[in-house]
Amino acid sequence: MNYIKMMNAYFGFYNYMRKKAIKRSDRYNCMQRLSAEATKLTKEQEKKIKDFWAPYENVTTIFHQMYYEKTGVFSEKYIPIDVYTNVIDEYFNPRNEGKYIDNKCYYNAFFGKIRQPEFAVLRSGGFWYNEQMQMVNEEDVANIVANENELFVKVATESYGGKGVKYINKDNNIVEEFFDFVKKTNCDIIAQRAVKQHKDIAAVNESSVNTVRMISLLSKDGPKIYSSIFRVGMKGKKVDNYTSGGLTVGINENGLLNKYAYNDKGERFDKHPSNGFVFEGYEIPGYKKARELVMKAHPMIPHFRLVSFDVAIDENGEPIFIEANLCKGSVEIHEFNNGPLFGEDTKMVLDEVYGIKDKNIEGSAKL
Amino acid sequence: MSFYRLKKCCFEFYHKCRRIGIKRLWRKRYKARLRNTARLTAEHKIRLKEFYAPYAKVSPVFHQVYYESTGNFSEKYLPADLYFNVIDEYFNDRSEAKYLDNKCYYKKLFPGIRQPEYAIARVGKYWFDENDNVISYEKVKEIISKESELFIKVATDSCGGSGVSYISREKGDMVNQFEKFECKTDFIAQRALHQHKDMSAINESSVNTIRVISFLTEDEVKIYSSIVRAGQKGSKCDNSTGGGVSIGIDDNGNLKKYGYEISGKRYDRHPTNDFVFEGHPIPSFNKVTELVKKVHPMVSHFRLVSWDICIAEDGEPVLLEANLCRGSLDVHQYNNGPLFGEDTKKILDEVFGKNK
Repeated sequence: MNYIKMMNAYFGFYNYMRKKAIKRSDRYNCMQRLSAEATKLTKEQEKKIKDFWAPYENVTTIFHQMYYEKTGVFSEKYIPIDVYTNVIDEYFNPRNEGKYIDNKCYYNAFFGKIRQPEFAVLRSGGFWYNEQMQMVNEEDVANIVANENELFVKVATESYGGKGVKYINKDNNIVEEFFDFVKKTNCDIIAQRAVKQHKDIAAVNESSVNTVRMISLLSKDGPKIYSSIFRVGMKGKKVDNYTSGGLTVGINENGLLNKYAYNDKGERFDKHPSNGFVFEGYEIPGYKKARELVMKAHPMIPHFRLVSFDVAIDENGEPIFIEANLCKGSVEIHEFNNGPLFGEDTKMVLDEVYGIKDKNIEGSAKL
Repeated sequence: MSFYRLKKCCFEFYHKCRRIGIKRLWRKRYKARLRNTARLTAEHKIRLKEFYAPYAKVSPVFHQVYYESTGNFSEKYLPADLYFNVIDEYFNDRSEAKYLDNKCYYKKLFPGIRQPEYAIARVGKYWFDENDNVISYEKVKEIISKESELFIKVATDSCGGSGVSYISREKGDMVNQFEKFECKTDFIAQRALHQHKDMSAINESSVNTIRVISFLTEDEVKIYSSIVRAGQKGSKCDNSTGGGVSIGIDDNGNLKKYGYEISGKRYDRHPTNDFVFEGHPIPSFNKVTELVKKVHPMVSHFRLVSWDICIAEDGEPVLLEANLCRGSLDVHQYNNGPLFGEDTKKILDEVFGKNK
């Protein structure tokens, strides 16, 4: 079956080119973030980086330079973004499976026992369902939507960066806007009711639902949350993620915000630029419960070991599971705010990813 | 990005070659089943050609096999190559089925539906007990040693009954037998299901399952065909590829007169134990259809699904397996005639885009 061999060969070539393009793009973005009078790394720092990464990859030092410049912290353990996307994330998460399983319409199935936002209607495989998961026709859908005050209509798959989310409300032709949005795509759709967030969270930025993002690695001993950040929208924006210009602030183990927030460019702020809100030491209500939710939810999708969870906190301080990013979760938001992603475990994790377990084991090859 | 376009071209070429291979395979299989006891008349051939003319070029070998085996001619029988290459691919996303059709996910995809109990499951690199808790391998061994018999099944891609292993205390140490099972992907260890006596009557040694093929539309879940699959005497498995017999179920829930082997040979009684099929009632058949109608909308990405259901001792149906794509065709058409019956033209129009 030579055509199979040919296809596999082409696949290999295609993936190689794809990763090369990602590497180029990540490095370009990194260079864009560095300022003109970039703080250059010392020879000693460059040596530390080369020594640390030598068993694994031939890394460029620009990412470490970027983190050093923006955060003032140097560590050889920062992970270059292209290495994270092309190697680490691919090792822990099967991308092909993620394409199909990372579907908000399946959340009820996979995360059944976890609290999630209510939804009014969803469309799966072209069929509409109401909130009791009974099949309904388009007329019923129009009636259901007309009775809602406001909805977040989301594309169920691959909606990163906040695109594929539309906010509609009663004051603004809700039914027309709804069908306008859903007719543009064949993908699965879910129309969720708004989550009323805790007043202490709303205080940071009124207009958006501000979520807690935690990245968790699943191993034999269970899930371990390596970094938590709080995502805040800009004034007037309804979405909080940072590709839409939002800010991210690190959260420490006690649920208190770090001093600085960072934006996409790596610029940092000690207070919210639109409303002057000061971040340092602010307590995120329900943070411990949000962590427990992630510890409970991650083993429900054990095929994906490195998952980024988005959790909102409702008005009673209870956590609500919003989204699980089963692959390609951002790494820079974590590293700006909380330092090297895997911290002290970096070497151990890299050893596993690159197949270097024990120097005594014969023939342990690079992945 | 032209690499993307090139990849698409490569993909399309690969699938074209693959489908040609499948077409050749099915035509060869059916040709081998011909016994030349009955030939299609010229009129038959014309009807066949006229019916399929708007859709595709079909080989008459399939209709000839059905005519020989069942004594019925209908131009609406679906050729196996057309079914697998076009119709099944149109209604079911094969790539998604590869990941979703995982027995370890059934509990989550089909909540509230009765399924076989399981002792442990391995999903990814982690072991789970029956309450979905992550457990260590030591605990796994402890649990296995306490069971008396288990069916260990590969969770994905287990067509044709391969990837199922039966272990029991009678054969030796449970943990020893368990560790002999080799599987690099997910698997699940289910407890044995004791079937209703009316189902055992058909063939004592195997769990005789009911296979239902259902089609999801906006208005309803339409059940096009139901059959019972019974194993050979002494065989533990019931599927046709393992040499079993399939018997059609009529609208009243009773077995039809004849059962068929995969070769098309038909029997009015079970070939090894002489059980007469005609009129034997399937216990709780109405509950079986209710279960299928309840469960198909839970996997709405797949519109043409083949369900395997077993009747437990208490008469309640238990969902064993959901074949989200590539469900067998011949067992249905031998026993119950053309798969889509009166709807054949309407469905082919949809598949081939004729109703735009």
